[in-house]
Amino acid sequence: MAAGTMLANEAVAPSGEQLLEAAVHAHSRLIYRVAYSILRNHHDAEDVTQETFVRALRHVRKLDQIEDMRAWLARIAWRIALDRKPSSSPMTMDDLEERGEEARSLAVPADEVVLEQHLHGLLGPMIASLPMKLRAPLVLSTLEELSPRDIGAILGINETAVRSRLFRARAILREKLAARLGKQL
Amino acid sequence: MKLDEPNIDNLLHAALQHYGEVEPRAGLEKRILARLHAVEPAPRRAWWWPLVAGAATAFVFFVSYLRFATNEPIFLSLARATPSPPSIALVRANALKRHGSDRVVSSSRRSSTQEQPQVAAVPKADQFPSPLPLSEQEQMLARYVAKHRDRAVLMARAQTELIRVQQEDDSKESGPYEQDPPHTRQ
Repeated sequence: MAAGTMLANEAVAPSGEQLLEAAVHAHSRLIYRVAYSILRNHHDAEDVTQETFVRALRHVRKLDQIEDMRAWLARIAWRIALDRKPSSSPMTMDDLEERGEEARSLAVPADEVVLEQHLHGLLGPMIASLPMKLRAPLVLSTLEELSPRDIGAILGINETAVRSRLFRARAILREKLAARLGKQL
Repeated sequence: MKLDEPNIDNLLHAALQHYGEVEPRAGLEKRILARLHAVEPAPRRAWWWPLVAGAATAFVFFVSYLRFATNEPIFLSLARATPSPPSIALVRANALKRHGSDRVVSSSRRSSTQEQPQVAAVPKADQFPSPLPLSEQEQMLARYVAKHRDRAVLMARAQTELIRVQQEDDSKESGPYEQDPPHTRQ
């Protein structure tokens, strides 16, 4: 009876390769966005995404022991992206064209599109000027899939610290944005 | 546009949402899976290699200890460490020692053997083949010499003198022929 149950469990339990393939289908988009949030470049973000799953393949025999696969993969991607991040990542032509298409496709009044584009152009340097301690949770919080608890798991800090840093980062951004918009508008 | 605090908050919220909105190019999952299939899985790490490495290291340390701590060639130490059956030369040396033959050995030689007892105790059978064991008569002679040393010395001197006289007689008899052979005499 017990042996039969064990055999049945072994037959049902997915192998490491199957778990990894399921993780690719379930989390590749999030991993890509985590990488992109740091690198701000599509090619680099895709490279990091692939590299993340290649590294996960090295631990394919222990994948069934991982409790939160999503946070684990996001943490790997975060570290790889941080290692790859250049000191200053210039905007590529692809990015510029993509942003132009996005702006044109928005069915909103022209002044709001201009304002949004203007804000987007302002926000990048402002976020980049934040200290890494505040920038990391803020950037990850822009990904809607990630809760403060997930962000804490990725960064290795607790949820309270995440919320505190998010509050401080937003306050700094709000001040800077008000100052810039007050000058320009 | 009026820029009060709630407006700025809304603008910031919208801008941050837009900041995180990005979609990968189509076919990302396929490309990831293709790369995963192209990558060979890591070979399973052998659990026994630390044990083998540890044993090899311990063996090297042991050999080094034997070599440098005892300050002699390693094969001597190993030969001493492994018990071997007593050789014939060793048996003979022990027999001579039992019968007091060690008194004949000079003091200088005795001191040298006392300084290096381990070298004398190890026979180099591969380099110096040991002689045949003592015959029964030789053993009897050795016992006699050990028991009656003075008489044996006198007998040995007398025997030596007798042999010397016989050799002199033989040389006298054969002397003229060696100097002037008969077939050449005219």
